[in-house]
Amino acid sequence: MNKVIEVENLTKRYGNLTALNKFSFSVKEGEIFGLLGPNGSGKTTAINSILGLLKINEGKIQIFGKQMQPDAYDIKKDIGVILQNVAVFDSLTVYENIDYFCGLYVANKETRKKLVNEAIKVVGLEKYKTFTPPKLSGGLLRRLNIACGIAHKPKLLFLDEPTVAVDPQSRNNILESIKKLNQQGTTIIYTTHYMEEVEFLCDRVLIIDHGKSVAEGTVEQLKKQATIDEKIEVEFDEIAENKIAKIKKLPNVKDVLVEPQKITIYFAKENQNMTKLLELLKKEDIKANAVNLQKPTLNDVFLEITGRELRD
Amino acid sequence: MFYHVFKYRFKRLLREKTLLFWALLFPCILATLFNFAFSNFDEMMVFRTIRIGIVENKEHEIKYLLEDLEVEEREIFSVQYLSEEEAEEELLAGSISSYLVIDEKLKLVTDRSGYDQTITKHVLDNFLQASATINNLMQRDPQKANEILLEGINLDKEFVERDLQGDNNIMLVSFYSLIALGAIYGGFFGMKTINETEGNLSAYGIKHVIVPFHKIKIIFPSITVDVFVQSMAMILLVSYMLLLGIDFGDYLFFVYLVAVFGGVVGIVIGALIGLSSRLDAVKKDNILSAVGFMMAFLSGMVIVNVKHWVQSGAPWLAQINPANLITDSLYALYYYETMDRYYYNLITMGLITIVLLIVISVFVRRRQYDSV
Repeated sequence: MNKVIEVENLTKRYGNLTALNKFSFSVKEGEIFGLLGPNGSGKTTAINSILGLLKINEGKIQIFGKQMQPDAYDIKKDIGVILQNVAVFDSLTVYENIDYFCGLYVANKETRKKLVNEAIKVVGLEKYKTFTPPKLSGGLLRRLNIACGIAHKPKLLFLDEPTVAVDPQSRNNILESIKKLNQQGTTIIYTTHYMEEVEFLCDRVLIIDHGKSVAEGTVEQLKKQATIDEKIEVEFDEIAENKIAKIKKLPNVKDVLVEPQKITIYFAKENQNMTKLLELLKKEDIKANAVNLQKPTLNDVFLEITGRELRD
Repeated sequence: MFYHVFKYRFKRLLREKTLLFWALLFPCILATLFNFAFSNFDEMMVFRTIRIGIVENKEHEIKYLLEDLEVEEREIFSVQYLSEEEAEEELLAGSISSYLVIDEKLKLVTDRSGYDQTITKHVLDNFLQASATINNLMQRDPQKANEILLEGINLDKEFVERDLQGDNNIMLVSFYSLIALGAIYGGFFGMKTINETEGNLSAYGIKHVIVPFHKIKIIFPSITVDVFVQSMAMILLVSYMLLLGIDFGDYLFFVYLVAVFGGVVGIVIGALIGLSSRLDAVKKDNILSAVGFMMAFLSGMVIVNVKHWVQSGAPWLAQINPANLITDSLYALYYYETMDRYYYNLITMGLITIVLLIVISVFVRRRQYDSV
């Protein structure tokens, strides 16, 4: 597959602060590429640099095989951007907003009409064409924001946390819309705080921290990088401290997270972790209300790599 | 592209009620309030004839001036010729407000301060100033001075009458300043356009910078709409003032012209304030409100004399204050026979606009930012 984006040794400094430090990655045509990182890790700086908005200190950025420059209009015509901050005009209707932003790329009125209606259909706003943004819920507003960025059918689409503060129904709609766009051939760069979205959407993921790439691969590849194999949650009415200490002494236990009426035990890769735990519970007469076995999630991988919660 | 951006910008402005309120309605509401306030003021300011005495120890032309001086066909002074003793008695009795002793020098005598005394002193000062001007002209250009005298033009009298009428119509300056304020508030349009097209100022700006052409193709039609709507607002304001009965003199076309041109200057000032920092839009709106009000204040909106104080104390400030240039243009149209001062102000505003546009273009040419 062709590389749609190729970033090499990208360095961006704000005064003494190095936001991106020799950051490199590439995105292949037709991929949904997840860019993950805690707040302040350099995700947005990376996207703004790739878009040519920021002056960079070092590095090389190529899009569609061409050098990205602020006046690379032949590249820009095939790019769509959906920002975290909703940027639609309150005094224009849903249809007019999409038509306005689409019109910055597509001059022909008839073609545009078709594209605008398609975008409205993709995000499911058919019933709201004549509504103005102040009359839309947060979720519908996000959908409108997306429609404004996709109507001109970009080949490359940047989505910066498009589902923040969105109700579950709208979130599902948005995720399905993104899948649909990707199936139609759009390459997508996706940043989010929600791991389940990354697992649902992304073909490949890059974890960025302190302006550097710290891990890259498919979701499965990243999970394999984790040293944790199993995570077992045990729910109680109450449990004594000395009993928790005994659980911590079980073989292969890497960490124990204690919460009110619940503990989460992280095991290293080994067989029979569950069996050993259940034996201990029986032996110590610990009354468990529920025992749940979970495989490590992307969030666990992320925690292990960056030492921080993604929602930090 | 021009039409597409123009169409939507125009639609948006027409639908943005808050913006339209400040641009169109707010100045009209202020004009209504001013008119209401000044209608009483005007009644208070109607001249009553001032009774004064003249002690004539020597022949002097000022007595003719005082006898003839009138505003709106009403005599300003009722003159009694008295001896110094009689004059003193009349003054003590309160039947005259002051008396003028004509000797080698002119001496105004009064025993209290008040409106009548102020006007009398004012007339006397202006007469002396105008006389000095004529004398200077006689020395520098006797032919021209003779021509003026032969034509029978009594410059002293005209000067004083015009000045007095100016005092009587000080409320006009307040209305002129209100037009200036309305013009400067056109800056809200310019500021909005800049805020929406600079990538480091808003999410709209980012969207407008990543398009496949230079953002100037968005700024230009947007500013065109701003100028159009602001011009309409200024025309509406002047027309509304005319309906209120404000007398702008005989050169109405030029009144509209300076109001519209002032609106353009306002848009440019707003654009510059918009570009000057990365403060949020609300804070910048507040800055523009304060700047506009300060400019109008310095041009005499609240206290008319402030305009004169600035002109005499800090003339450079008066020359770079667009609000003052607007009020001064309107003032010149109303009070002066020639258009020189009007054109001078218009040209100065043009130069200010060009300088500001050059500064703006340096910023607007940017296609990349240090941070967004």
